[in-house]
Amino acid sequence: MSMLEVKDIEVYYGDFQAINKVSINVDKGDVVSLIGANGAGKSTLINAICGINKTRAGSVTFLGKDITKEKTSHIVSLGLTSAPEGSHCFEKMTIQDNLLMGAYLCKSSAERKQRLEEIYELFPMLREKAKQLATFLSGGQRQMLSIGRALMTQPKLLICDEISLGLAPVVIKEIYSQIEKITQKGVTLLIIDQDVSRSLFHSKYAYVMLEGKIVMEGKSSDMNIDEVNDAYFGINFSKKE
Amino acid sequence: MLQYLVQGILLGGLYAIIGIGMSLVFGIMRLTNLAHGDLMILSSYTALTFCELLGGNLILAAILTIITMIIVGFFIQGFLLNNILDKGSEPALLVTFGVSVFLANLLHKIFSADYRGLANSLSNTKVISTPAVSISAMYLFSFLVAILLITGLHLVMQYTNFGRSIRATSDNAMAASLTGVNTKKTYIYAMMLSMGVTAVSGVLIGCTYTFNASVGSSYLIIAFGVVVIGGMGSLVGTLVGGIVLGVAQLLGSYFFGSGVQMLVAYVVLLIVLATRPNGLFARGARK
Repeated sequence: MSMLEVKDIEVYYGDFQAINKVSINVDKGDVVSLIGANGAGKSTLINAICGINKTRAGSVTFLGKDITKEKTSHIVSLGLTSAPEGSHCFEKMTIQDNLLMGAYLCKSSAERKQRLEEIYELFPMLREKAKQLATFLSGGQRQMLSIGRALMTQPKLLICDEISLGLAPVVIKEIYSQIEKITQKGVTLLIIDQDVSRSLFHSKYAYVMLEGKIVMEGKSSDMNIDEVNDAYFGINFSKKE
Repeated sequence: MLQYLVQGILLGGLYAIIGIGMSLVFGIMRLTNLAHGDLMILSSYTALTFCELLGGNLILAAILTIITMIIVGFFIQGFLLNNILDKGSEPALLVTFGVSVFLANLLHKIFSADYRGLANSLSNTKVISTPAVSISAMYLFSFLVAILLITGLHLVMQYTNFGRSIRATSDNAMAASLTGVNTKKTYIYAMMLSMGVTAVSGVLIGCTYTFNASVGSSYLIIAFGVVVIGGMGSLVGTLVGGIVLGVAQLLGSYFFGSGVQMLVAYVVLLIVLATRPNGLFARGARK
């Protein structure tokens, strides 16, 4: 069943077209990855899906509802959110307050505590630092906090933006192992990563973006890494068309 | 000297209340509300009008003023500022300047340029009356209200879901929206809160000093001083900022004469700005 369906969307920054007729599809229970170099338009696309960037054309459908023009806060309440890269933590708030913000829409404080407990089990490091300000965290810890906060909203579909940007390989490995646990809980994932082989290894389906377009897509297991790399950098791409 | 010191500290409480409203708005929207002083004087006049209509019941008039100003806050944010904040905070700054000019002239038109005051029993009562120190009950009352407001707001900000959402929006509006916060609504709530506190300050100022339509801008500068000294967006800092400014003003008056008291206060402000540009209580390092 298709959970998220993005159809022919276009996003502009002023006169500059950042996203050109992009369509992607995420099925329930899958892990889908979106691969692309810096400036390919991945984050712009994610922000458009979440209602942060305005789309000029096309549609976004989530669980059968048209959310193209919806406010971000409403989209989150439907069960779709993104974990922005770690620099978007609430710097002047404690780790615990950061996480509790994730449960903002949950009105029961007992339930908020219970969700907090689940996140602490997933990322024990966050429990240790619960009372510290987010501004003192390292890059990897921030990434975990960002994912933890997004999970606190209890999303049906979670988008992880730039999941490994600037992180040490050990940390990336740890984050991906938590990602597996998250999928086991029934959360569908759309993961953005710049590392081609890692993305293909961890996902079921993959899209490659270049200059605001989807230039390649397919089952991750069927994809040839060299071809993906070529598409990623735009090498010989015109020849294939 | 002791008299000036004590009175300066108590005056600081009043200044802190003036500063809180401005600090809230700045902390959350990064917007300097240039109409803050005029909105405060608007509250003074609103209280005066209610008081006259109610036959001198100041407490009821104050409550009605707070409610009125909260509604005013809803309209200012919902219909004027929210639409324009998308384009950055500079255009919104100009809008608040426009509101300031509009209000000052409107109040002039309605109430003329005569100085008015809110009659009350506290300002003529002395709580302490010795040869060395004499404290007016009004000053003490303002100071206590300031402590109460700051403590109350601090608790709300730290420990409630609503307070957290305000802090989160002020920290990173995009990330806040991804947790389900409707940031536009949060801005409206923040402005309503700010206007409610501003109404309190307007009533207290009206009880302590006389006012007319054109004094708003001088209170804007005081609010600015309080917030800059204390650190923008910090509640405890607001109280400290108010006290620093109040004490500087009154000690200035003691040493150099009342003619230059505000000059001394502003020199202190400049010294703080030069040495601690983020204010004495700026929280967390900004990147």
